[in-house]
Amino acid sequence: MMTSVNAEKHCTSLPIRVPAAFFSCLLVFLFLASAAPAYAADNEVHFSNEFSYTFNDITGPGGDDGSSLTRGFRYLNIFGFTGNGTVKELEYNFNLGFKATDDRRNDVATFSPTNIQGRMTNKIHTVNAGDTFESFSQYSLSTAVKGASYRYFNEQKNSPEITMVYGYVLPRWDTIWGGVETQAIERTAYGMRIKQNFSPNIWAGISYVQAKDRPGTRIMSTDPIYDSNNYTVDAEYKPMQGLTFRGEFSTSRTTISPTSVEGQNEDRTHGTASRIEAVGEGGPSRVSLEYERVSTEFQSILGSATPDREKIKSKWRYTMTKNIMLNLGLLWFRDNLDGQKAYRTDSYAPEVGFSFKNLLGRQSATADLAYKYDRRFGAGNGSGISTADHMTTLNYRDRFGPVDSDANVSYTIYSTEKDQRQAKEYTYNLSLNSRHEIGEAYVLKPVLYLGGMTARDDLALETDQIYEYSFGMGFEFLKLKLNSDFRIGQNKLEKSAAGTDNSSKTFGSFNVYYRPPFLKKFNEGMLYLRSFVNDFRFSTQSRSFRENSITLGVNLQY
Amino acid sequence: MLQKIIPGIFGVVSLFLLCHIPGPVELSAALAEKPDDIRLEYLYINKKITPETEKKITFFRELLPGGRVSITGKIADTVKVKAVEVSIDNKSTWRKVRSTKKNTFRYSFRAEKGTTYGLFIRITDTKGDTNNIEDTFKGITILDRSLYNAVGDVLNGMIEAYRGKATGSFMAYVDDSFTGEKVEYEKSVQNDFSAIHDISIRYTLNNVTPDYKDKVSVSLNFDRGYTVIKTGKRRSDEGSTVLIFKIDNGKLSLHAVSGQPLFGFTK
Repeated sequence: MMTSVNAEKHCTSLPIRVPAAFFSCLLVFLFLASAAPAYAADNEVHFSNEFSYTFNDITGPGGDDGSSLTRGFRYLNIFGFTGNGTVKELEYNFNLGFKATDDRRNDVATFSPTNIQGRMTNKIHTVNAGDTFESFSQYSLSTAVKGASYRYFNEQKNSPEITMVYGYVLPRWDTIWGGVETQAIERTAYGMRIKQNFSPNIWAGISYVQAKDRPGTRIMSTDPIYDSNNYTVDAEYKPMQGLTFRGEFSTSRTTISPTSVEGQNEDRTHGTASRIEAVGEGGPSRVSLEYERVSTEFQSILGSATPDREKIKSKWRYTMTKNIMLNLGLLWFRDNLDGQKAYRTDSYAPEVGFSFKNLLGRQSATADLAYKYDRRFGAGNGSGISTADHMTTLNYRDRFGPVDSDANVSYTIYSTEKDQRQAKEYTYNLSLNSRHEIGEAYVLKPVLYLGGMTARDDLALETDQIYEYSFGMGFEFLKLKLNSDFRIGQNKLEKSAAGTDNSSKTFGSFNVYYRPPFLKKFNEGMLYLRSFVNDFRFSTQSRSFRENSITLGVNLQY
Repeated sequence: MLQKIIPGIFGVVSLFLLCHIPGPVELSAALAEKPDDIRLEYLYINKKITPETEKKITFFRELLPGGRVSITGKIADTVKVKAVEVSIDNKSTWRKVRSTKKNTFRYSFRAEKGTTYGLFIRITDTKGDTNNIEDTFKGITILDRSLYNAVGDVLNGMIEAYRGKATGSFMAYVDDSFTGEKVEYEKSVQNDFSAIHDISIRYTLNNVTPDYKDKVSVSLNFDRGYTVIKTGKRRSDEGSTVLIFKIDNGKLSLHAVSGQPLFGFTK
């Protein structure tokens, strides 16, 4: 994979297909745009197309390993076509899109569909095809599929809400027909859910989902193949205004084939997960309390769960006065529910925070102060080693005359017993920005940033220091509808450990965004230029490199 | 032993707090004293129940079925309804709406992008009395930007905060309901801040699919450059991930992550 990326970096010739790709998109766009006004008044369509053309230049011996850019001229085109409306009793919407690029850092495929989706409803029956995202509940289904779903719900008769979904769980459309670079394990998802509203304050649902992988589609021989079934019930009850109870219980039966090697036994697991949550809101308080237990063998292939965990979580947000808010929280969780691990880990994470407005009588001043403690007995690695970490953060925002300020300070102590880790970190940054109008035609926006971090390792007696400073200026030419900005700066990493690299990056960027009158029809279409230079210097000179990039683009919407 | 006791004590304290919230108790008492009040029992806007205290509601235009906002309400059973009227222009004009025998009513209107509608509901009973119209106010805003652009804005904000190692700003984009546990995610991100610096992230969106309720699934490709603090070496990598955002009142916050981690990847 990396070989092909590196090979791409050395390609600097101008691809002939670039103008063809751009003009094809433009022709489609203009055709659709010209056809749009003929559409009925109750229906609407929108198009968007962003085309950008980039030249990247990477010099220096460390460029191939260090730079994340692809050398040479590269294009990227993102096209979208959406619509919605009503035909008799049917409400519909659709969403189509594609992406084209020759930069493998943007996408492994030159041309790929992004969204293919259509949806129709008559308020009782709803059909969705293409990109389909039905979220049943946390443990059962919260994954988008390429397929279809159907929902029946008669609101006036308060009928049960019945949803069925079927599709492939694939990250992208071209996996279905694409080549080696876009292939993925073929996973099919089936699901059904019935939900009933018993009153405006109570509902309950039952769900069944199945995720099934096709064994012949493994990418690596060690990829596990799942055949998993989840049966879930969930419910919500609001006994009074401001108080909500939610609960969910799920059981899973899963067959896991660990490798393609013959003789490796399939693993059959059966697990359960349950959670209950109470949320109370009223007056100045909001309190939530949650309990969850997910057994070691529970699998949620299409939903979300952390196996082998029992947890209690609580939060209390309290508005103490008009200007002070208190946040209190505690999370406790543990593993080793089946007692199979050598050590059990218990984690306690209490936190306390205050938010202040009008601090010290200053109307523009706001501050957030928070302290978090993370105590783990066992540290979760089966070693029995415990950790105790402390983190304190302060954020202060204020306005001094024409200057807005935003300052952050944090101090963290990491402590792992048996002399495994003793470290401290200080992070600090300050940004100052301002806005100055000159007449009615121009705006100047200077920005100054100063920041840094000091990390001290008390065991190795080493200190790493990071500094960054930058200055920028934004220009707005209001009558011309042209915005521009530049920024220059430097960051440095200074290390005290022998055999490691000190490094610095000197950087500059310049951008221009212009909305010309001739693109007004395209929702204030925009032309833009973005450019930057990054000059990386390392103590080991063979790692130094410089990257220059310039991008021209046009963004049209209709 | 202590480890077993602490959650128990904590649970009791939390339950105590939960039972001492004054708002709902006062409200129930108030309702009990005035059973004949002309009032709404509930109000749904696009199938989402809207508490009385929630006055501002925001939607993405493309997530409205047929581009329409639909309002469903129920008037208290004790009220003998003569007429229900709805205004969406801050009481400038009123439109009569049919109510059913069960005292429910429905109204829908086609909503335009970048517009805020001032919703009021006037209920008149057979005696000619009306409800407190001001209490029914809802400001319904239809966002000017698309969901696709909103996803881009949130991702850019997260990347900006991540690059600046601003833990608080970054975690403000993560929902309290984050399925992998918000505190754990913060710890992973904090590990990144300790382990790497000078981070650059570029991404292209593969897919943005809403569930038309309260979530959107976002699939993206990313490439990342960063300097490893321990070794001082520059590294770059690439991958793809799926992020699920919760949509609440037009605001997106991270609810779940699957695939390769975009943030919190160093440990």
